Amino acid sequence: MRDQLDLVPDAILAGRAADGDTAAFEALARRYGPHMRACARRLTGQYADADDVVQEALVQAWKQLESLRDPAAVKGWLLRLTGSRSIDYLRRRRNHTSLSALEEGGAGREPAAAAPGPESSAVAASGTEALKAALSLLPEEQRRCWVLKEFNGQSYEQIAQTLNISPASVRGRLARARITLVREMEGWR
Amino acid sequence: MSIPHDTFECGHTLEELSQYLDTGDFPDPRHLETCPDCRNGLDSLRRLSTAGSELLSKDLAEAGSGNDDWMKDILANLKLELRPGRSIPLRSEHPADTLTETEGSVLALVRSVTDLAPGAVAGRVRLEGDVTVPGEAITVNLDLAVAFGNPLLGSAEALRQDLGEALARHTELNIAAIDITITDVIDTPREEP
Amino acid sequence: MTVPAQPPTAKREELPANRQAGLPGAAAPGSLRAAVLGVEGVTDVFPSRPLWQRLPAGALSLLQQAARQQGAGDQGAGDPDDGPLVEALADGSATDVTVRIGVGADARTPDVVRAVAAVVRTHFAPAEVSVKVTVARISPE
Repeated sequence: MRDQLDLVPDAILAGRAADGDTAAFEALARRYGPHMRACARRLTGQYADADDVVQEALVQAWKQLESLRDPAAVKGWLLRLTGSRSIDYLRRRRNHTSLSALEEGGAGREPAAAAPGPESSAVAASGTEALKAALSLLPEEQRRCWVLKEFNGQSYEQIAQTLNISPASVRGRLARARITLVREMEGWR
Repeated sequence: MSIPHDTFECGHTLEELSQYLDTGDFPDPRHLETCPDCRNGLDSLRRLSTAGSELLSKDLAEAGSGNDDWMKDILANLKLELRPGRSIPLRSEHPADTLTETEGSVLALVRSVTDLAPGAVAGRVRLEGDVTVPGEAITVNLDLAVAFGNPLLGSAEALRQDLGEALARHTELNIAAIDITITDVIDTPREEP
Repeated sequence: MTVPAQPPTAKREELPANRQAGLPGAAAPGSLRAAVLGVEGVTDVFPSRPLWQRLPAGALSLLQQAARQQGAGDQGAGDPDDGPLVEALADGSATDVTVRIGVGADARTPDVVRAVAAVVRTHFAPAEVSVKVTVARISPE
């Protein structure tokens, strides 16, 4: 049934991959690559960066698969790696950006938050469009918490680890993110 | 950044409601059934959560499939270090020679023999015992996924025999036992006869 | 003669195109490679050092294809993933020859490995060598 690796449960694929089976690892990458890419795109702002992040996350996954205690939990684990690599990527890009901004004599800019645009929730075509517009207006730190929670399903503790902040800060940022998003989307309060 | 008016007249906060949605924790759960402010707040947060799920679905569709070119490019760029594992000695006819096979090659052999069995896919494989010492008793532990409806018992026995023969052909390991654990059942699309 | 150690993070592209040529017999590694491939049951000859295993996923099969196409070839120099396929190191007293091979599932691996060791020894005769043969892959076809 080797040709049916794509039908095989996560735990089996993760176990094989941990044993060194590159075909099983590639099947896992194909299975969860789109989710990893979607998460990295929301965090980094664009697909070109997202693909770099996904690649880095997969390299790390291959190296550390043996340490994964519960192979059935491989999906959440891959998404957490994607979140961490995305944040690293943003830090590197921010350093790079503020350096070049300094050289140009300008202020550092936050690329992922770029292009909020003048569109408001009132004119947005749908709920998701309104949400996208509202997300782009969020402070960077809040948006990261929100994406890690809603796209990756990470717990407060896991988000705290990824962002190197306390779980209490995660709770606060997430709540503020949601309050702002609801307000933007519903003209609330 | 603080949002004004995020505390309701009842004294509860949107932060508490936000956490309640994620964890189910709330200082006074019964209050949520009766307080209109809190219920409105929860409704709004739930609508946001629904919009979030819709955005994720949309983004997932936009991200494409794992069989698309972007994933092929990523896979082609990956540099995966192969895992040779332990060195398993083979007898040599010359004292100066060192003849070995990698543990990784033996694990791959076990997987490929297993995958040939009808309705079976190998999972994790373990060689228990010191394979680097000739003659040591070795137990093979194999995790197995089987297709739904496959007769498990007979196929496990036949598989154990095939594995025994393959290991005898390709290694000089002293195989004491082959333990097969069925860890998963695969739902396969039913094939037309 | 020693081979400089590569740091673990070294990329494959940065590894030198290292050809060991310290011995009369090793001067023509291609012919030894052909001799090893000529042993029944040998399906592949891989780059000889573990570091050369650092391959892109999927490249293993490409490498094997290349090896098959070059099965009767003389040098194998055209293979982009080609490291020293057969590595010979002399430290003054003894000469180590390292070969990493793939074996077909229909063969008997221990017999194939001993036959490869014998072929290598014959190839270098009358020089005395220590032969290291490692099976890195046992493949169904």
